[in-house]
Amino acid sequence: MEQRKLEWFYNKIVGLQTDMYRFAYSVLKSSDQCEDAVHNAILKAHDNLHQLKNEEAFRAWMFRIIRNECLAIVKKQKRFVPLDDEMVMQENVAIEDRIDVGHAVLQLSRKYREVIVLYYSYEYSLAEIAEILRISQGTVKSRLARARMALRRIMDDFGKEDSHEGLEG
Amino acid sequence: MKDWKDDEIKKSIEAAMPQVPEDYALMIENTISELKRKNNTVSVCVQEVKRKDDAMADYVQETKRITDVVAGNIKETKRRGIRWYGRLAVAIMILVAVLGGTFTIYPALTSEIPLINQCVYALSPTVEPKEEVIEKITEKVTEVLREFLSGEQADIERHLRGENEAQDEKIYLPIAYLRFLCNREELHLSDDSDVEVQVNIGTIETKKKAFVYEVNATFELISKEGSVQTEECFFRIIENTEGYYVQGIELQSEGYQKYVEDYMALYGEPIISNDMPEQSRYDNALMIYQKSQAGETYRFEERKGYLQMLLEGINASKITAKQKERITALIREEQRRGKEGITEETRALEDLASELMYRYYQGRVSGVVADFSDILVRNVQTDLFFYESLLAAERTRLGVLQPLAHAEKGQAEVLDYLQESESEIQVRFYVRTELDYGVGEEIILTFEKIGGKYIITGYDRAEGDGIYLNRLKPLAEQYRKEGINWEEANRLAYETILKE
Repeated sequence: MEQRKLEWFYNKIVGLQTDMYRFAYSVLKSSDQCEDAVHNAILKAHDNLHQLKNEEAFRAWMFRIIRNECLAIVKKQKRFVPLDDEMVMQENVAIEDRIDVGHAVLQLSRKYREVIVLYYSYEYSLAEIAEILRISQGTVKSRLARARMALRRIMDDFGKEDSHEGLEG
Repeated sequence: MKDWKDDEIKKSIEAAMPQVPEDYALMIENTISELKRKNNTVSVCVQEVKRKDDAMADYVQETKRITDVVAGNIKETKRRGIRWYGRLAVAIMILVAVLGGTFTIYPALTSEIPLINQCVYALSPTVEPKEEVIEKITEKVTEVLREFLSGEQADIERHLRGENEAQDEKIYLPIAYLRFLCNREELHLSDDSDVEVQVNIGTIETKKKAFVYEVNATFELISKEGSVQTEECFFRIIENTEGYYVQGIELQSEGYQKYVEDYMALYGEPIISNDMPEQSRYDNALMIYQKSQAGETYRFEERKGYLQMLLEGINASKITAKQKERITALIREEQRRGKEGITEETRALEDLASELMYRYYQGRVSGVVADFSDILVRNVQTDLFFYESLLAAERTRLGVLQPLAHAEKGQAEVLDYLQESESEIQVRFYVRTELDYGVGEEIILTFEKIGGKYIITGYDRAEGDGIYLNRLKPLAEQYRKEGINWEEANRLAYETILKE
């Protein structure tokens, strides 16, 4: 690997470090594991830097790797993620009062949280989000729409809900 | 969201995110230093390889010089009249040189020639393949995984090479495991389920040695419901003149290791058939159903689905003798459980569990806590349930919770018998109550048989979020640690939460 590219990579990592941590948190919702996920992702990115064809797409590419590392951590903790995502969403409803949208976002299930954070916080386009999450643009749109509905519901409920309002199809 | 502008949302999300830990920047710095050290080591190795390459170039030059000398001798020999030996030697040398050069540049040509393929493989270095080859390998791996997950036998076979590849247990067990991951989804209780499992390759690392590619890949299986399973897989792919073929596959996850253990426990040895997809359906259904009989938790509809499949399949033509034997044993066990009256008792307990939660939700409809006295004894084990019910009713009445439009008694299912004695039985249930949108939850109840009927004498929750586990119970325990008796502690916990 040429030295110029490596130096460019190191500088990019330093510049992106806060965003990487926050994105890992938005997937994992656990501060303890974010550092592990980011560390592993940096190593993975370094080993696969030759696959990055467009340097301008570095952030999106890096986020995709971080996401994969986060999912690997989640997978190690449990065999299956819950199959009913609506139930997961309800399990994450906080007990304390949460009425601002930022905290409400953190109560969403992972698949909704990711699209909301990528769209609003990092201002990615639908196409870029589709690329990071490896889903179609149509799926990104529908998840955004459902995430917004879910946020409305959480904020309407003021966050202090009984778990018996869990949803099941 | 209509009241929030995009930049307000962005600021709110950023404000909600936790601060980056103090030692995080140090971790980044250390990671980069680690990578710089690694790169220095690689540079040293690259220089060593170059040195060896240069040495090889010198060797080749020397060989050429010797060849020229030999050719010169042959010319001289020819001049002396011994022609045909010389011509033969030259022809053989040229042939060896051409073949050697060709096989070095196109090792795929040798992949299926015995002995030569071994020599070529042994002499070839391990290298990183070119970009376009990596792309082809990635496409191949994706295609292969999709066929393994959902293809027919013929589709799977066309990707395989090796002796008895279709019947090799090393190929079968990974395929069966991948289908096991998907099959659970397929038989899950979603009414409109039309399962489509998407395969996404996460990362892929490829090394090439002659015509063999060793590929480490991580991939995600994503169901239509959105659940994700990430797996790590090793492929051994060979290239010949017709394309790329899978010679071996290994999965690395703990889930797979557990699956192999369970499979061996079921059969004792891998069973091979000529129809891996069909065989894996029965194998996986058998494994899951046996686990459910041994007490592992599966939903009622799921177990029913698997049992039905096994019953229908028992006379299927493609089922093996061992599978048939296992299914028969499983059915006999189900019949035994029915005969011994377990089902009747189970029904009685399930009915009580569903009645309890139905009355609980009546409080969420009317704002008035229900009367439980005919089915539940109030004591230290159940006192918190009363406060949980009271909180639900009071908070509905006060407008903190939206009242439910209606509640109907649903169905409860025994998940596990936890403890049993002559006078008491403790059971974990999954209870479903029909509300505006339905709810399912797990509870643990203790029963005593009093006056010829069962009555609930203990209540707890197994897991999950919610006011009982997250607030009421911990608060009550905290008050008790402060020296307050249980009745007072429970009441204080209830009042504290109600005031919030």
